[in-house]
Formats: sequence, structure tokens, C-alpha cells
Amino acid sequence: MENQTYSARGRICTAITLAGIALAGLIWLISQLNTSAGNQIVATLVIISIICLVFLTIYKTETANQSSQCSDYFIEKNKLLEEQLNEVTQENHTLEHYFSTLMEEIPANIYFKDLDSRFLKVNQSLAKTFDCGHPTDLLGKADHDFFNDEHADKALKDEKQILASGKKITGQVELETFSNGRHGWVLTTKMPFRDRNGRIIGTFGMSSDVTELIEVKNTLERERNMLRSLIDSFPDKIFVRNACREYTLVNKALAEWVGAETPDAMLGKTPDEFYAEDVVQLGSSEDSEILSTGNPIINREWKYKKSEDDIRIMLTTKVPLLDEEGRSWGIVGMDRDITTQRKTREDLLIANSNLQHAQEQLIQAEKMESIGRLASGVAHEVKNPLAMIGMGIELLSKRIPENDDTGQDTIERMKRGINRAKKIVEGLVNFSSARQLTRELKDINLVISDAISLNEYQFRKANIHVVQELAKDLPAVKLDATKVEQVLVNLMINSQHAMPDGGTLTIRSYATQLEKVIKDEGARTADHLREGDGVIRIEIDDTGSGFEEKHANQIFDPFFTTKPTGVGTGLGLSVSRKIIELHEGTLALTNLEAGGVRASITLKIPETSS
Amino acid sequence: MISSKILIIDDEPDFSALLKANLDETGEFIVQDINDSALAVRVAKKFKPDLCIIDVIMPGMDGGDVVARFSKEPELKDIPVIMLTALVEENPDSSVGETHTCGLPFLSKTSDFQTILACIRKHLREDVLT
Repeated sequence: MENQTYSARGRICTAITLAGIALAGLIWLISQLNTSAGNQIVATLVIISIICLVFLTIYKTETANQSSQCSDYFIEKNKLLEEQLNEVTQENHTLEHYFSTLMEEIPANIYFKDLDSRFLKVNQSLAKTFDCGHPTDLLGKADHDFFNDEHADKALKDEKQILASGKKITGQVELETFSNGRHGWVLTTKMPFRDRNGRIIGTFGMSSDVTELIEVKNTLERERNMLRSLIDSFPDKIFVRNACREYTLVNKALAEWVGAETPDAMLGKTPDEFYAEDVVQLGSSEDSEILSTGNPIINREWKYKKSEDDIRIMLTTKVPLLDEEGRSWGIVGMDRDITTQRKTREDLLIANSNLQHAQEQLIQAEKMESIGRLASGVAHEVKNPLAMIGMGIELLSKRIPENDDTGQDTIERMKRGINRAKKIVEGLVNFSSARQLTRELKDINLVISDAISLNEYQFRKANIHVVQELAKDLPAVKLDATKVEQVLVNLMINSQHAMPDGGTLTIRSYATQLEKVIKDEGARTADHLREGDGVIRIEIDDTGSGFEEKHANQIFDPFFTTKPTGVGTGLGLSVSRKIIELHEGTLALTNLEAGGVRASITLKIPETSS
Repeated sequence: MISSKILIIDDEPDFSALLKANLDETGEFIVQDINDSALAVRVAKKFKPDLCIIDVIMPGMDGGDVVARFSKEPELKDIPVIMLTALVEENPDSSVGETHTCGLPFLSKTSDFQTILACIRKHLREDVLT
């Protein structure tokens, strides 16, 4: 401000001085005119000139003072400027130091290139990467001097784009391949290099070696893909849910199971969008328990109603997912549909049971065959001595006087013994001879009627009422009428013995389709009958007391009888079943709910029978 | 009354002897028994039986062979024969317990004596009638 004041005053004094000189010149001109007016004017002008001279003197004095003051000011100012320059220089040095430190120390490759993509400046790291001793060795060189053409062309293209557009390329991951084949991954950023006026004079950039990182990333990616492929290839339904029960991972099987378009379509959603309420509730309470206790659920079996007629048996495993501090943040789970396996297992169990049954049947049948062969042999050998004893008793009986009661009684007892032995032998022979049949197509009802006729007298005597429920027009069955009649008579006699106080004997015949094949131990030929076969069934029901269930497995055993000694040989039922089996049929005995026993004969209707 | 002659051919001497004794006891028959079937034709020719009781299972020549041999002998071929064997059971449908097979009556060896006797009488009677 002070300087400005000095300057203004200076300018005013100069103006006045100049004006005084001008006036002096004017006075001189007027004095040349020699007039009174001129004299007055001259006088005036002289006065004015004197004033001007005074001012000029004052001005010059002030100017001298002012010059002295200005000189001090500029000295001071210069000193200040020097200090500032020193500071700037110092700052420049610092910045240069920073820059060089940055260039040399940073573990990244830094470069500056000119408009032709030739290196202007590079750092030590880049020189090292290029196997050059010093960064200056790279000056004037280009990427093509170090990299293979593919990479160098790509870099050049990028740089041209930057030069043209002025836009930078940031965070680009590139595979660098050197001329010698060495390669590595870099994260690179390239920018336009501008001068102070903002004009693009080249490019500069920085790249960091991220080979290790990329390899880790690739490895992780591979593992993630492998894991994804793995869980997607599983037929089990795999999921991960967070604490809010939102799906964060779902495999294909689960998406297909619940009808979602893709696994991703389920992400962020909760089970209630895919499952019925009861399933959701059960799952929810389970999840809460797992999250709160940290205890997993392993192989819980449950039934899932997929549709009205499709109930699936599921096996679920759920395990808590823990964070670094061991807190549960979610659940990983797997649902497995074991319906097929369960069915297969059940089928296997059934098959195994059937196999065991068949084995038992075979063993039993073999036993029967052995007994049959043995019986046949024994019967023949026993018959001869029996015949001799019979003849002997007959002869002796005539030698004993009529009044010898003890003798006569002994003879009678011996005769009864002989008869009993003969019956047993007869049964054994029947048992073994049942193997031979003469079969022809017959009306089973006629055979039944004949059997009833043979026993009619016995039934009347035993006060047994016979009811016949024989279906008409039954198809003919191929059978040995004599043998089947023997079986029917046998069964009727059994029924009669089961009703000592009389009762009702119902004999029924009808045609039907076999619903289920009842396998019976010892029944070797049951396999001839198949489900759906057309069969004729003959049922003989009595109103007796039935048999004890504990005897159910023994009633067809040879010599098994519950009848009093001498009444039954224990061969009737085994012979009967043998005969029916030879007809490729079955004979079964069951207790009736209302009391009594039902003997049930099933015979196959030949396909040719009409 | 003329007694009928019965020839028993059975390899079991105990049985044939007892059967013979029982038949003798009736007083109706003259009975001879042999236990070697090979001698059957010769003995029969000599004995000239009215009826032969022949066992089936015998060593050497069995009952069937004996009947075949008899059928070739003019003087023996018309003699009635009863096959008495342990191979068959008494036929309840027959009044005399016999079973006819191949044109021959078969009777169970275990039939009681009265049944055997009835069967013998029946065939002797039939033979007389024919």
C-alpha cells in the first residue's frame, strides 16, 4: 500500500512538473506578443511556473526518499523469493526422492512409453522382469523385444486405444508370455501420459505379478467346479441353509425334486415355498434344535407324500455349519430317497424267506421221499412174516378148546394185533405207491359223490349231517379218480372222527382263480400252481373241535396222529397230500373261526379243459 | 365129497406149511406145497392140482414165469391160479378181496385165512361151472 502511495504521488508530481514546463513555454510565446494582456498572462504564468517549480522541488525530494525505500523493499522481496526457491528446490528433491523410491522399491513393474509404445522410463522391477541389468537398458525398446507376438500385439493394441481415446485401462488381468516361453499372470493398469499442457505424449502403466494368486484362484475355481459337479451329480438332495432358513446352496437333484427350474432359482428362498406345511414345520423345529445345540441329525427316516399316491421313504442328515468362533450359522443337509432300496430290501427279505421256505420244503419233501422208499421196502418185508403169523394164529385158534377163555381171548388179541399191523403196512404201501397215478379227465363232483356214498352209512351211524354244495358245470380235471376218492374218503373219515357226538359235514366244490399260492412245508409240487391259475377247489368242513395250532406243522407228517392208539395209523393225511401233490395240486387244513376244520383241496384246471 | 387138490408154490416154507396146515384143517382139500418154483411144472404134472396158489416174488423163476410155463403145458394151462402176494392189498370192492390184473386174480398175502379160503372156493366153483 505504501509503495502504491509513493507511486501515485510520483505520477502527480511528474504531471505538475510537465505542466510547469509547458506553461514556461507558453509564457515565452506570449512574451513574444508584447501586449498588456500578454503581460498579465505572463505574470500569471510566471506565478504558476514558480508554483510548479516548488512542486517539482518537493517532488524530487520525495522521489529521492522513495527510491531509498524501494531498494530496501526489493532486497527484502528478493530474499523472500530465494527462500521460497530453496523450499521449492528442496521439495523437488523430496518429490524426486519419493518418485525414485516408488519406482525402485515398489514390487510392481512401472513404465512410461512414448507415442510409439517405446519405453521412456522403467523401474528396476520391470528391468529385472525383462532380465535386463539396468532400467536404462530398456529405453527405446518395445514389448515386441521381450514378449511373444500375441501378447505384444495385444499390449500395443491396448496402448493405441489409450492414446486414441485418452481413457485408461484398469485392473486388467493378462497372461504375459515372454519370447522364451516363460509366462505369468499380471494385474495391469495403463493410462495416458500427458505433458503439463494435458497433451497425450505417451502411456504409462503398472503391472503386478499375480501368477500365484491366479493359480490359487484357478485351483479354487477348479475345486469349486468339481464340488459343484460332485454335488450336482449326487442323486441325493443336498442343500445349505442359513440361520434364516434361506437356501444358499442347492444341488440339481433337490431343485428337480421340488420342481424348481434351476438350483439358483431356490437361492434366497425358504423351504415353505417348496414343501407342504407339515414337512416345513418338522424341518423348522429340527433346524432350530441343530442351530441351538450344535447336534447333528443323522439318518432320520421319514415319509414324504410327494403326491396322493406316491409316498416316499426319506433318509435325512443335517449337520450344523460353524463360523470361525464355533457358532452355528447355518445347516448343510442331505435328503435321500430310499423308497426303492427299501422295497428292494423288503423284496430281498421276502425272497430270502421264500428261499428258506423252499429249502425247508425241499428238505421235508426229501424226508417224505425217503420215508416213502423206506416204507415201501419195509412193507413188503413185513407182510410175509405177518402173513405167516396170521396163518399160525388161524391154525392155533382151532386147537384151543372153546371153554378155554384165556386161550380164546389171547387168540383174539393176537388177531387184533395182526390187523393193526396190517393196517399200518397198508398205509405204508399206500404212501409209497401213491407215486403212480392213472389220470384222465373226470368230473370231480362224481368222484365226490362216490366218496360220500362210501361213507354214507358211517355218517348216518355217527349222526353226521352231510351238506353238499357242489357247483354245477365244473370243468373236467385230469385226475386218478381212485386215488382222489381215497383222499376224499380219508378226509371225510378224519372229519367223522373229529365229531364223535355228531355234527355237520359240508362238502363244497367250486371253480375259482388262484389269488395267492400258499406254500406249505413238505409240499413239493406247490410250484405248479401260479397266481391267476384257474383252479377247482374242494372244501370239506366239519363242526368238530379243530386241531391245536401247535400241531399245524406236524399234521402231514407220517405217523403223526392225535387219534387214540389203534384208531389211526398217522399215515392218512400224509398219503392224501402225497396223492394231491402228484395231481399238481395242494391240500391244506385250516381251523375255522366258527370251530371245526376245513380241508381244502386245490386242483388246477387244465387249459384244454372245457 | 371129492377133495380138491391144491398146489401151493411159495419160496417161504414157513408160510406155505402154515397155509397148507390150515387148508388141511378144513378137510376139503388135498394140499401139496413146494418152495422151489423150478419144480413147479414137474410137480404139478404129477400132482394134477385143481387149483394153484402161486407167490409172485420168488428167486429164480417168479410167479409170472410159473404161470407162463403152465400156460404152455396143455395139461396145466386150464388149472385155475390165485396169485397170493405181498405186493397187493386186499381189495375191499371184491367179496373175496381179490384184484384182477392181466386176467389173473391177485390176493394179498396178509388177507386172513377165511378170505383166502373164500377166494379158493370161488375159483374152484367157477372152474367146475366152466
